[in-house]
Amino acid sequence: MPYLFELSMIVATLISFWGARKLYLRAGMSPLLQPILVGSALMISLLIVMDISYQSYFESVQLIHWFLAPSIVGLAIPLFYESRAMRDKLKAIITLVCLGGVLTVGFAVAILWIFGASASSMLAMLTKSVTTAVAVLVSEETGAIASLAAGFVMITGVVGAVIGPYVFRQMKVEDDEQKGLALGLSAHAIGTVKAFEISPKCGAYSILAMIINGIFTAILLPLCFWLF
Amino acid sequence: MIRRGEKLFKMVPSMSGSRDRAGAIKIAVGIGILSLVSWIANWATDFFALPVPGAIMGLLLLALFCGIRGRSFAALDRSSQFLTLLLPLLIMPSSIGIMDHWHLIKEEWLAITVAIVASVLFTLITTPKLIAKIEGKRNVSEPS
Repeated sequence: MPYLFELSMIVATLISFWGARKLYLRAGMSPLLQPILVGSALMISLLIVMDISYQSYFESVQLIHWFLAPSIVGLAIPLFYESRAMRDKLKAIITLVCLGGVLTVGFAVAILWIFGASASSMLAMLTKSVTTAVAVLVSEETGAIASLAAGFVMITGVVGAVIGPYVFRQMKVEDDEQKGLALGLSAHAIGTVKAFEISPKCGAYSILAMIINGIFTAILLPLCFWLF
Repeated sequence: MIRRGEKLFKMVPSMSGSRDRAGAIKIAVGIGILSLVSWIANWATDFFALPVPGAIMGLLLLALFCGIRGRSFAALDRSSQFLTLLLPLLIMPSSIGIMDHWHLIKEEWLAITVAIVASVLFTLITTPKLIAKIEGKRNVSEPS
């Protein structure tokens, strides 16, 4: 039967995401059980046990990967709604997010450099700052290792979602707008999920920070590679 | 508030078990339109050799179009929410690729961990302070 392998890989991916999502909701949305983390871990174990290479897996689930681009285009809708509600603050937010984005990435890459990490790690870290989904496409464009960058984003998102609420308590941050921007900027998509759990307003600002940062990095990063 | 995620999930008709067929069709049409926009933007970036991914260009074009039009599109609202909800699933094929870099992570785990934790902490601490400062400067009468 043709396409049996492709079909079974797609179904396996759907089932592991579905299961991970169920587990996440059952466990009271514990940040450590992020669906993408658990789902990916399940799929990786399955691939290792069945001795399937990542390349053949990736080729077989092209159908899932294909939906990524339209879903990124779809982020324009929340951006449009939020930009209207936040028009008078938009300039300050864009300034902050661009500034914060550059500082954060510079900081992470500097630490890697101090530790003497490899060039591919640094390149992936550079790309990582973009929203998870966008990172995959940007690294395809810049030639950074897409999967490594996506892995970094996943780890960053989980770290941000776990320590975010704790940091806000310690820093006495009470404004949902500030919380949302910080979560969206540092923890991207997974941080946005966390922000929506705090409040809808917090989630909206998180999306805004995530999208602006994503656009900014997506434009700036290829330009950097283009120049050098 | 804690059930927010679950509520979001129920929004998707085919997944909640309800027979909201019109909603499902609307989502399918919306995804088709988004794909079309993404395809056009992809073609345009290729044609003009722009150093920006097609999807980002599509996002900007669609936001601009909504801005000019003054409102969004009913079909796109729902499918955008639907796709955002599924974003973790759509990223999975790429994130699973980390299995090919296991040796790199094993060798540099300390540097990677420190870099990620430190940069996240840095952002979480500085962002609220910076935004308070920027906004405070603009309206001094209303300190936050």
